[in-house]
Amino acid sequence: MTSLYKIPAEIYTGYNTGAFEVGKFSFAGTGISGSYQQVINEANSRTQVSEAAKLERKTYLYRAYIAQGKYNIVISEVKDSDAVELRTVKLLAVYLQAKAAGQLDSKREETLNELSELLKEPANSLNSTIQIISGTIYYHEGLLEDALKVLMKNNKNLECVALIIQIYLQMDRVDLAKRELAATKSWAEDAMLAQLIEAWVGLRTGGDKYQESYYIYEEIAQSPSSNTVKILNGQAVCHIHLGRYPEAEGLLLEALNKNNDDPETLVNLIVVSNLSGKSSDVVNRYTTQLKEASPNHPFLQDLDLKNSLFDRAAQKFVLA
Amino acid sequence: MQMLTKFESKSNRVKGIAFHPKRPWILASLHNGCIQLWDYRMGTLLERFDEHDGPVRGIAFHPTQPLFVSGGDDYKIKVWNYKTRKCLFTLNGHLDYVRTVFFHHEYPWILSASDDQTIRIWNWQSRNYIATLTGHNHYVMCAQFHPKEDLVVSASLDQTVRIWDISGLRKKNAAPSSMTFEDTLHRSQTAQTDIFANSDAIVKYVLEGHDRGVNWATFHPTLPLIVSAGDDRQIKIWRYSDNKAWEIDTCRGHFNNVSAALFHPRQELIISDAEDKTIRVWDMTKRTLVQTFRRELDRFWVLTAHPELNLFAAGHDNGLIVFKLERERPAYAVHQTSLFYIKDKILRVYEFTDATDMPVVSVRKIGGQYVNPRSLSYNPAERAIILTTPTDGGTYDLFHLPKDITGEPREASGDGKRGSGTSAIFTARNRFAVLDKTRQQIEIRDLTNIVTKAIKPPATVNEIFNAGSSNLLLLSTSTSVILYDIQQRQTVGEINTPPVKYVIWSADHSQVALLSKHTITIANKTLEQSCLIHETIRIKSGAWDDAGIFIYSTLNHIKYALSQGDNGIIRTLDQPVYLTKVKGKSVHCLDRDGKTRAISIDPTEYRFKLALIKRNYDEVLQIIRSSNLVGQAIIAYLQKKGYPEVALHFVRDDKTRFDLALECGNIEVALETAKKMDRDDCWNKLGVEALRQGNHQVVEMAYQRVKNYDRLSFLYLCTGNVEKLRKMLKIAELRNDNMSRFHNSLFLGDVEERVRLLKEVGQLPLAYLTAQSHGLIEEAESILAASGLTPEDITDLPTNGQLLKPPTPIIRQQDSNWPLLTVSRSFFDSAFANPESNPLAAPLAFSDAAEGIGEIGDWGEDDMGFGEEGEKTNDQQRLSGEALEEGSGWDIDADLGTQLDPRITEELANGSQEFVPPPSGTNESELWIHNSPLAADHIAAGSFETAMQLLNRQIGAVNFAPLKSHFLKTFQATRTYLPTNVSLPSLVYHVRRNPEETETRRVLPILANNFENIRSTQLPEAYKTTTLGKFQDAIVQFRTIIHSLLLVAVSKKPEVDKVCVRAY
Repeated sequence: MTSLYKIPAEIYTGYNTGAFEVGKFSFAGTGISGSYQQVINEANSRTQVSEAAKLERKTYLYRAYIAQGKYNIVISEVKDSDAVELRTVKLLAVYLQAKAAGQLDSKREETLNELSELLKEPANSLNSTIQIISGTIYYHEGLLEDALKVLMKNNKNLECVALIIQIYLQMDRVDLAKRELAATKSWAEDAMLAQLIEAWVGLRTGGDKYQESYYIYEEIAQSPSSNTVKILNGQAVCHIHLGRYPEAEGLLLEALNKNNDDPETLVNLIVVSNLSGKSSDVVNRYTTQLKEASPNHPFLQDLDLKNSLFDRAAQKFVLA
Repeated sequence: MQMLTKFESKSNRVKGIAFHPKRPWILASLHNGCIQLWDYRMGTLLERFDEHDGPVRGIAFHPTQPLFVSGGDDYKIKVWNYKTRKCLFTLNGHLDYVRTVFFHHEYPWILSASDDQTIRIWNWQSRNYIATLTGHNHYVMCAQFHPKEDLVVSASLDQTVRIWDISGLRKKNAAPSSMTFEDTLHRSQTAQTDIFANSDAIVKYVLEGHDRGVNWATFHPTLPLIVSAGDDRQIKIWRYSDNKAWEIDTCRGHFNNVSAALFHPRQELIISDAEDKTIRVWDMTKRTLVQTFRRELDRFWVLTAHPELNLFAAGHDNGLIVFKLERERPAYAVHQTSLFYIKDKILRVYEFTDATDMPVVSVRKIGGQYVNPRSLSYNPAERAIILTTPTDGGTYDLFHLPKDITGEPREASGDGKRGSGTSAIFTARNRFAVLDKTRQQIEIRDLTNIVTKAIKPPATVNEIFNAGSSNLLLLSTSTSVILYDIQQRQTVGEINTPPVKYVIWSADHSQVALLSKHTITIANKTLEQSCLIHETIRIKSGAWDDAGIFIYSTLNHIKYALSQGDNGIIRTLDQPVYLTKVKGKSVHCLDRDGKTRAISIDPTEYRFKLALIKRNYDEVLQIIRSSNLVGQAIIAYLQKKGYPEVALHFVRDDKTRFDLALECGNIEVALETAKKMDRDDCWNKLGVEALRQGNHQVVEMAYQRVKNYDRLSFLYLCTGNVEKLRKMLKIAELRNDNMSRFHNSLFLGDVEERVRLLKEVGQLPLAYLTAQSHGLIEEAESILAASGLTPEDITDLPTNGQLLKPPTPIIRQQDSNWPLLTVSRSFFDSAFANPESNPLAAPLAFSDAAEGIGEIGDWGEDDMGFGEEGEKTNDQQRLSGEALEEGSGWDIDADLGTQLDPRITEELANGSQEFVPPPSGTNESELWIHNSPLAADHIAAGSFETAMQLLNRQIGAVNFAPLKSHFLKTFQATRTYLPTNVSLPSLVYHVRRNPEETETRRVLPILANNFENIRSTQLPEAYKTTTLGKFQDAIVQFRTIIHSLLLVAVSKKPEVDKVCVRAY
C-alpha cells in the first residue's frame, strides 16, 4: 500500500501519510477545514501525475463536490467502468442526494446492500477511500458499530481516525476517543486534521481543554485559505463553551456573511442569542432562517420533539 | 500535682495488687478469697480465679512468663498460668497466713512472708522451697527482693525491718547445669537440714526505729535506700552501705496505720497510703508532704507501682484505683516546620526539616516544681509563648523567646506576665485570649498583659481554642463546640459534640478535627460536621496529612480518618504517642518521655481509599499497579463501597471474579470465567444477566451450555432465528421429547410437522383437526382413512377455531445483538482493558489491540476444534438418524453442546480477530439530570417531564403552559453544533455553566436565564415600561421575569437572597 502513496503528487502527501506538510495542498487539511472549492480548483489545475495519483485526485474532486452538495455532477460523471473508489464515491452521492431529498427509504436497502457487497472483497475493506465512504454512510444510517468495524482496519489513515473519533464522541465514549487521539498523536503530531480532532475531543472534555481547543481553531483560522465557515464555527463554539458570547457572536456573524444559510452557524447563533439574553425576536428570526435553510436539521427535529413533549408532559399536571 | 484516675473497680476489699509488666492488666486479690484480673485500659474484668479459701493478701505477676503467684490465709501459695487460666500447683509449707508473695526478677524463685514468722524462698520450677529466713519474732508483713542485688528486705510486726543477704543461695543455684547428680542430691539434702540454721540467707541488718509493727518495706529502684511504713503512722527512710544501715528521716503526717509506701520510680518522691483513707506524696529529699489525696470512705491497704509505666495502683475497702500523678502529655505546639515542646521543664524547638532539636528556655520557675505546663501557644510574629499550668486553679505565663537560640537553655526572660486562667491562646499578632473558667469570662489581652476586652461567653465554657482567624474562637462546652466571633460577640456556628479536649486544624484551615475522649468530629471551618468517629479507647492526639487525611493516635494505635468517615488502623503502638506532624510516610510525634520520634507508616491503604472517594481513578490505578494491595479485605471493602468493577481487577479466583463481573455487569469477564468454571449455576446466572442487558448471543450460549431447550427455543423465536428453531425441532425429535417438538413446530408454524407428531403420539383426532383446519385436506382424509372413518362420521366439530400462524420475523436478529442496556463502564474497564499496561487483569474481550488476541484467540481455536467435531457428529447423526428410525440409542446429551456450537464458535473466532464495537457511553444530558436536582437543569437536559415533576414538588406548579417558551429557550441554549468530518452531520456539544469542571459527576448545563441577565436587561426594561405608564405591557414583562426566575440556578448564598428579594 505504501508504494501507492509514494506518488509524485505531493499535493496529497498530507492526506495519505497523515503528515500535513506546510505549503502543500491536502484534502485532509483543506477539505476538512471546509475549503472545498479550493480542493476542486487544485484538483483541476495540475496535470503531470501518475495514474494512481489521478485516481486519488478525482476521488477528492468528487468528494469535494459532494461536500458542496453538488451530487449531480458526481452521479453523472462517474461511470460503472470507473475504479471502485470512484463508484463508492458515487454511491455516497446517490445516498446523500436521496437523503437530502427525503427519499431515503427507497435507497437505503440498496445502498447498504451494495456497501456490504463491496466490503466483502478483502482488498476493498482495506481501501481507505472505501472505508471512509462506508463509514460515512453507516454513520448517516446510525449504524455506528458497523462503521467502527469497517474503520478499525485502517492503516494509520488520519481521516479514518477522524471518523472513528467522531463516532466515539457520538457514542459519548470520550474515554475511547481520548485513547484513540493519544495513539494518533504519536504518528500524526502536527497534521491539521489531528489538531482538529484534538479540539473536538477537547470540547467534550471541558476545563482547560476549552481554551486549548480555541487556540487550535484560532491558529488554523489564521491561514486565509482555512478561514472558512466551518472553522469560524469551531472558534465560535469554543467561545460559547468558555462563556464569551460577544466574541462568539462576532465570529458567527462573520460566518453568516460567508454563507448565509449554513445551518450550523444558524444553530450556534440561536444558542448564543439565547445565552446573551437577546430578545426572543432575534432568536425566532434565526430559527425561521434555519427552517428555510435546512428543514431537516436535527436541531429543529429536537426542538419539535421537545415542543410536543412539553405539551404531553404538561397535560399530566393539569388539574382536573 | 493531681491524681489522674485511669481506672477504678468496685469489689470486696482489695488486699493485694499487681501490674502486668507489658499488658494493660492488673491483678487484684480480695479479702473474700477471689482474685480478679482486670484490663484497666478497657475497664473490663477479664478473669476470676476462685480457689483460695479465705482472704488472699499476696499477689504478683512473673516478669516474663505467663504466670502469677498468690498467697492466702489458707497458708497456701498458688502458682497460676493465666493463659490456661489454671492453678499450676500449690506450695504448702507455711504454718500461718501468707502476707506477701513476689517473684525474683531472674531466678525461678518466689519469696513469701508469713504470719508464721518466717520468710521462705521457693523454686517454682522444682516446686519446693529452698530457703527459710528466720529471725523475726512476730508476723512478717512484707518481704521483697532487691531489684538487682542479692538482698531481701522484710517488715514485721516485731517493729523491725530486716535486710537479708541471699548471695549464698544464689551461688548455690548458679550454673545448675554444671552440677553433678551428687551435688544436686547433696544440696537438696542440705537444704532440708538447714531449715533453721542455714547459711544460704543471713540477716545483714536489723533496722529498729518504728514504735509499732511495720507493715511494708521496699527498696529504692537504684539507690541504696529503703522506705518502710508502720502502724506508728510513720514512714521511715533508711540508707544502707556494705557494712552498715541507718535511718535517715521520718515522714509524719498520716493519722492512722500506714499500709504501704514506695519510691516513685522516676522522680524524687515517696508515695504512701494508709488506713486514714489517704494517699500521700512526699518529697524524698526534703521529707516534706507534697500532696494528699483523700477518699471519704475507703481505707487503703496496699499500693504498687507499674514496673514500666507512670502508673500506680492502690487497693482499698471497696476496690482499687489505677492512677497517675502527672499528665504525661508534653505541652507542645506546631508552627509550620517547627515543633515547640516542653521536656523536663525546658522549652525546646525541634525542626522537622533537619531534625535539629535545641533547648531554648528553662521554665523551671513556672507552675512550681511538680507541675508541668499543660498547654503551649506560640506567636510567630512576636516569638512569644504562653504556657498554661494548672497551679492555683489555672495560671498562664507569657514570655518572649530569646532572639538567638544558642543551644543553652536560658531562664525565661523575666517580664513575668502572668495571670489566672485555665486556657490561654494567641489570637492575633498582639492579642491573646484567656479563659477564666470559674468566673466564666474570656479576656482578650494585649502583649503587655492588659485586658482590652472582656467577653461573657454564651454558654459554660471549659476550654478555648483557635479558630483560624483573629476574631474567631472555638469554645468547648460540655455538649458542644461553639464558633464565636469576638468582635461581634456572637455565635457564628455550633456543633454538638462530647466535651472536646483538643482541636486540630488542617494546614489550609479548611477542616478541623475536634478530639474528645472517645470521639473525633471532623467539620469544616464553619463547623458543619462531615463525620463523627467513635473509638472504644482513648484518643490521644492527631495531625492532618497534606492530602487532607486526619491521622490520629489512640492509646495503642495510629489510625487514619477520611473526612467522609472511613477510618482504619495504620499501625499499633506499644506506648501512646502524641502526633505532631504527618509528612508523607512518616509521622512525627512526641512520646511520653518528651522525646521526638518519627514513625514510618504505610499510607497506601488510606491514599487508595481517598483516591477512590475522590474518584481520582488515575491515582487509584497507579496505587493498584505500584503496590501490592491485594487481599480479601480490600476486595470486601471495594465491594461494600460499590466499586465491584475495581474489585474485579484484584481477583484471580474464578468464582469471585464471576460474581463480581455479574455485579458490575461486565459480561465479557463473566463469560470468560464461566467458560473456565463451566458450571450449570454459573451459566444460569450469566444467562439471566445477559438477558437483562439484551445480549442474546451470550444468553443463547448460556442456555446451550445448560441444555435449557425450552428457553432456547423461545429465545430463537424472539430473535426470529428460524434456522435454529428448526434445529431445535430436530433435537427435540432426537430427544424423543414430544412436547418440545410440538412447541417448536408451533413456533415455526410447521403444520405438517405438528400433524405428523400428533399422529405419531396417537392423537389422531387432534391430528385430523389440525390438518383439517389448516386446509391439509388430503392429509386429513388419509388420517380418517387410516382410522377407518369417513367425514360423515365426524360431527359436532368446533367451528369457531382460528388458524394460528406465527408471524414471520421481520428482522432476523441472530447475527446482531439487541440494543444493549447501557452498563456504566468505569474508568477501570478501559484502563485495565489495555493489556500492555496492565499486569494484573486478564485482557477483556474488548480491544482491537493485537495483544488481546493471544488469550481470546485460544478460545477461538478451542472452539473451532469443537466446531469440526460438531460437524462430524452432525454427519454421523444424519447417518445414524437414517439408520436408527426409532431414534433411540442416540446419546444426544453428550453431543448436543458440540452440535449447537459451530455458529457461536464462528462468531467468537471472528470476534477475536475482528473489532468488537464498544457499547455507548452516557450522554451529557443524562449526566446533567443525574448531577442536579434543579428543574432548570433538567429542562436544559431535555427531560421536561422530570423537570415538571420537580417544579410540581418544589413549588406546586400545575399550570405549565406559561413556562413553555422558557422551557424551550433553556433547552435550545444548551447545545452547540460543531461541523466535523466532511459529509457527516455535525457533532453536538453540551455547553456547561461550570466550564472549569472536567469531572463528569459535577458538570452542569448552561442556563439561558441567568440572574445577571434578568437584572441588567429585563428588569430595567420592565421598570421603564412601568414609568412610561404602560402597565399592561409591564405586567407581561414582570410576569415573564418571575417565570424565568423559576429557572434560575444560583450558586452563592447572597445571590439566593437577592433572587428571593426580587421574587417578592
